[in-house]
Amino acid sequence: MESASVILAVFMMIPLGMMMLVFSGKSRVILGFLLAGIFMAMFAGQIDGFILSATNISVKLAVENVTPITEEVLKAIPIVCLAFLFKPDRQFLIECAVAVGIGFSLLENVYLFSEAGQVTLLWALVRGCGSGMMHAICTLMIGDAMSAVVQKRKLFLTGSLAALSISIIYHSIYNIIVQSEYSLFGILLPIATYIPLLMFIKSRKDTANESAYHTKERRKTK
Amino acid sequence: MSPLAFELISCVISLAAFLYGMVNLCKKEVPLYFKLYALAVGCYALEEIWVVVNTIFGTESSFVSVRLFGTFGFFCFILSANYGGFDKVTDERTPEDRKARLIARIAPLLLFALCILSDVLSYSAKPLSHMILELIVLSPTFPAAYLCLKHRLLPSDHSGVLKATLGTDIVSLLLFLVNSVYLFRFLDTTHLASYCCDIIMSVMVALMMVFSVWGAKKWKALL
Repeated sequence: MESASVILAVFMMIPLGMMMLVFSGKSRVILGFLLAGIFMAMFAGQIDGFILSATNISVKLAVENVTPITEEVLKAIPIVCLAFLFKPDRQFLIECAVAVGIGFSLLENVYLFSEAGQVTLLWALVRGCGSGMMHAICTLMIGDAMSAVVQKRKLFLTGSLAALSISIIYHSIYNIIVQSEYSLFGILLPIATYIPLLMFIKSRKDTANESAYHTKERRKTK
Repeated sequence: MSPLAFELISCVISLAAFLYGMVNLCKKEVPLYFKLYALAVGCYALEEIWVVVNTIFGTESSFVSVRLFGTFGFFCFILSANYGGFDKVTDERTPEDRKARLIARIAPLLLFALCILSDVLSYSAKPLSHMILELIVLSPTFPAAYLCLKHRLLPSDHSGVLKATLGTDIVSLLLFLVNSVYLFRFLDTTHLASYCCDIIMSVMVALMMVFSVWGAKKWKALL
């Protein structure tokens, strides 16, 4: 029997997949990465389920120590592939990375909603601001790191693994807080990190633009 | 003092060090080397936050923890800094800084060897699977450690910056020496020395940031 996550993923992926034909250029690729995020969420659900059934660990322990690893590794796969196969520009890579995170959280939230039954608007707000933002922030961090690693190829191994480690730890912190009796504090973590992260990425973007401008100018002078 | 208090103190110290580093090092004229050290400290601070949050709300277990990725990320950032931190790479060698360069190149390798050794020692009393998993996680950093040997060269007029980078390297080396003692807490959770080590490590991380900011200032003075 198919699991609920697979059925929900099919519900979402079919119309989005069909609509990819309507879109073109960058929008199509971003939609494709949203789909990839949904697919990875479905896949992560299967893997987590397998690990839980194969080992004797509790669900709480698995959510704190196992799911952050599997989910972050799976989410990073499409981003790494895009970065190294197509070498897109920084902004586009970040947009695609965020699309993967949002796609992932979309299926996760819909699945949890279907499992929870009666939920309130507060629940939706907590999940949206918490889990939704958290997944997007994790992939945003990986996407930003990848954009730097693509420019400095020799940092591929260390740079990408370092970014992955940060996103795993961050994800685990969120999961621990959300599972506690102070789950509402869970939403504070993504909100508190989103603004500084956005400022950091923006500052890096300005620097990148400026150096690109200087390179152009130097070429012109030559 | 309870273990949580020790962990909170080290968390606050490392977080403050990270913020200090971000404020001073996230500028376009600062070389990537120092920025990567700031990110390494950020990774360490995140690991400390994880420890505090896990102590308060998490599940106590002997299961291999996500915390390992904090240490691993910290290593990776330090290696990235040592391997690709400077754009200006030359083969210039002068007698004055030959010794310094040698230490700068050996430090990251020693750092790794010590880490692996300490991890193996601390896990020797645990099931073998934990040790294998840890080694698998840490193994991709070996080739990077080897590669960083060849690429850490600076022009001779950058001796001030070199001193600062040596400072960060030596502190990070000492940090992992302390870490090897710290890891013994897995064998004895009531070990007070291990909690003291945690605070010492955070102070060392803060010292790394001070060296990095100093190095960045020296670099700016050269521009």
